[in-house]
Amino acid sequence: MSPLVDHILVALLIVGALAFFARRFFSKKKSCGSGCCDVGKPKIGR
Amino acid sequence: MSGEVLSSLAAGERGRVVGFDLPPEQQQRLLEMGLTTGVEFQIIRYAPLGDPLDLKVRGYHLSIRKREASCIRVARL
Amino acid sequence: MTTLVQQAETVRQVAIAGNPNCGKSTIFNALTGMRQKVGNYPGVTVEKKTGRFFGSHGETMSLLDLPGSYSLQVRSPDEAVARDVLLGRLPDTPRPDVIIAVVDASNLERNLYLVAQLLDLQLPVVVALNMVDLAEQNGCVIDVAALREKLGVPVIPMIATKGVGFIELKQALSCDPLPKPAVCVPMPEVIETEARALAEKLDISSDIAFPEALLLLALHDRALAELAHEREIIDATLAAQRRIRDVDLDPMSAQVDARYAWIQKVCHAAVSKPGDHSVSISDRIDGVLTHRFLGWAAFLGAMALMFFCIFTVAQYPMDWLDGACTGLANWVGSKLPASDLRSLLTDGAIAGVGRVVVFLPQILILYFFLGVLEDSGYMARAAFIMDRLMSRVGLHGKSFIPLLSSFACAIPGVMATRTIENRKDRLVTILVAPLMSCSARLPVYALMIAVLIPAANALQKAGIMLCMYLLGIIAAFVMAWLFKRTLLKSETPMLLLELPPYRMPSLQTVALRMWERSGIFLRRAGTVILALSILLWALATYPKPSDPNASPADALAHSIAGKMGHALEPAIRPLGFDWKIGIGLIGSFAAREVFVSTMSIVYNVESSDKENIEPLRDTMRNELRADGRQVFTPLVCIGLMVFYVLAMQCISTVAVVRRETNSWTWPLFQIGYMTALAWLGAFAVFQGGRLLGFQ
Repeated sequence: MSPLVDHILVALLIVGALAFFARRFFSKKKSCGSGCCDVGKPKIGR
Repeated sequence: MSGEVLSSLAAGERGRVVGFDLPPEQQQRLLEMGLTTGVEFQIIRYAPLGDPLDLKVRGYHLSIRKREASCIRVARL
Repeated sequence: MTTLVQQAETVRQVAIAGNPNCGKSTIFNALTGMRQKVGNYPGVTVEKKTGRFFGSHGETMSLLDLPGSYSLQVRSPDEAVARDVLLGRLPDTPRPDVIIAVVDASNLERNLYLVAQLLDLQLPVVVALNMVDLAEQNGCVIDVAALREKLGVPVIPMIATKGVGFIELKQALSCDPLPKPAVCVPMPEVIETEARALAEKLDISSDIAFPEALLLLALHDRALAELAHEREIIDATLAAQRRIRDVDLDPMSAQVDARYAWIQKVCHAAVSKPGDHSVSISDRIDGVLTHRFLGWAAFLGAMALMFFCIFTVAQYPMDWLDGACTGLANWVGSKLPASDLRSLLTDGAIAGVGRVVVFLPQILILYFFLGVLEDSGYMARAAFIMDRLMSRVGLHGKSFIPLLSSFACAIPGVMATRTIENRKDRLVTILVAPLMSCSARLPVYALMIAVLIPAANALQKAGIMLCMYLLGIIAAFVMAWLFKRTLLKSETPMLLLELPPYRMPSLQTVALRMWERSGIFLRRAGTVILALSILLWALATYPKPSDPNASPADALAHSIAGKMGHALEPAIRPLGFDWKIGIGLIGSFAAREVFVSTMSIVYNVESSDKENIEPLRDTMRNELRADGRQVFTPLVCIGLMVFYVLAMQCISTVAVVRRETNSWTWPLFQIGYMTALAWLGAFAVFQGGRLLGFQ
């Protein structure tokens, strides 16, 4: 395998890992997570 | 009969719920677990460290702390 | 395409509801077998278990396992989900076509309370009268026909653990059309009238308006404001509540009393109980297991057995897994020429994921024990026994189980906090759970003890380990106490704990739970841990030294991680740590046990496996500072151990806390406070020890 292919593959893997975290970090929050609060849920008396 | 609360009963004793001196949310939860006014219960035991207690009501075992139990007015049977 | 859509529409949506401990999961597992999947409701961390099964005509049905709940009035995230699904308030979960209401026949009155609420929902209900054998053992005879008539819905007597009643249950579910409940629980007239009037004002489908109005009427100020956001509705509810109070009724307790009065009538007609109050087997077992002295002995015995298995029995499969990972890395290494890619795959990805995967046997054993303890009913007793101690720091008996699990691994510990009702208490438990010494700290302790006392005997080793475990426990309790008084100030929560009768744990339930959990664990290892291992590898590899023949130690010193170690030195010098230890701390930021392998790279020691730490130990002991003093003095060794007791240093836990709290705030705060605590701990050891004249 040529060093170029090697470098490209390594770079791709690192960028992929970074992208994985970036996607998680910026994913939209849907609720406070406690489950008790009603953010993002249809309200009862709407 | 006057002034008796659930936590003043010893293990093995029976009683009947007369009323509550608890915040509404806590009272609601106790009611929904079947500890309603007029229901009969038996104190089965206190935990090894003296708190909480295990009481039998409506045929099952429910455990609550002395703190809340001291706010439940009862009549000893 | 159209046929597919039609098919999806005709699949009957069945939801299974019931109190905790009524055998709900046994029925769910028996119906679906392995055709089930576990996910999460979007935005909340309540588990969503769904599955498929076949009705009595062979038609496919979809089954949704609702979290166990005592009432539609919500107290925990779990119960909120059950309520919202049944009211059709969750956007991506369709309102079910029929509810299986599982009822424990041996505890009929309390179990019927939820059924009484379900009957109001205007959905077809099938009552699964489970554990009829247990009821009979207790001398309780249930007239099923009378119960069916009084409840106005089909009632199927079942013994789920023995497979009895499933054919009849499926027949009832396959009925077309499904009958709606014929009976509604009678409410006091004024409540009925006010609820109808309030229901008119709610702009939602008329089916669910009435039960929602009933829920609203029973709520008090704060809870009401949370549920009904519109001022208009809140005002209307408050006005209605005032009118009910005017006729000397409490809007909340009148509803509960009315339901229990109705339940008593139902039971009076359908259940005949002998008058005697004989002591059941379960009560007799309780006499021992919650006994003042025997109870503690049984409790400590159970814990000791569990940890013995986690730390000794699990060692064999862990060694095999470790060997398999090494084998895989060697195989990949042999197939690729020496290059960065090979290093990334073997030293980064495979080694990184492997280090986490080796803990799978411990996690499986932990879940086996937790499953058996939970299913047998002992877990509630453990909470009963421990509650007094937990309430001292303002926590709940229920916080005990997550903290206990954290001794094996903080990940299952954090996930086990889901049963805690109060959000603040749940957060406090999550925040302190990683202070419990998990098994990943063991390799670090082992190395540092070896450096501290090279010829330590078993007793010395065990003694030092025990001190570290105790330090973690004390720190967790102190921090919980502190958080409860400051940041997450709230009253000590009320304890309301059901002590279910003891029963033989179902192996199927336990095995399915282990299967499910290991799936979640492995998925995490394959995603977050994999990505992270690659990034850490990059940090420790780039930029490369200009001399291609530089030793691994020089290469590491030249890399970003090495530079970070240098940059870190001023911060850790007061702890007696030098920059090489700094590299170890940074390298192990993602996983504590990486400290050992990072140190072996730093010190250029070839063989560095867990079994054979002697070469590394000797190198570390002989390491000198510029001025000729030893680096690893006893104070530094103890300080490092204390640091690892208190520091977060586990990215998997960060990821799971992020998921469980659905925010970055809490995991970041947790990293911050634990690192500060670790720094202070090591500082106190090093500087305090020097003041006292130690080395």
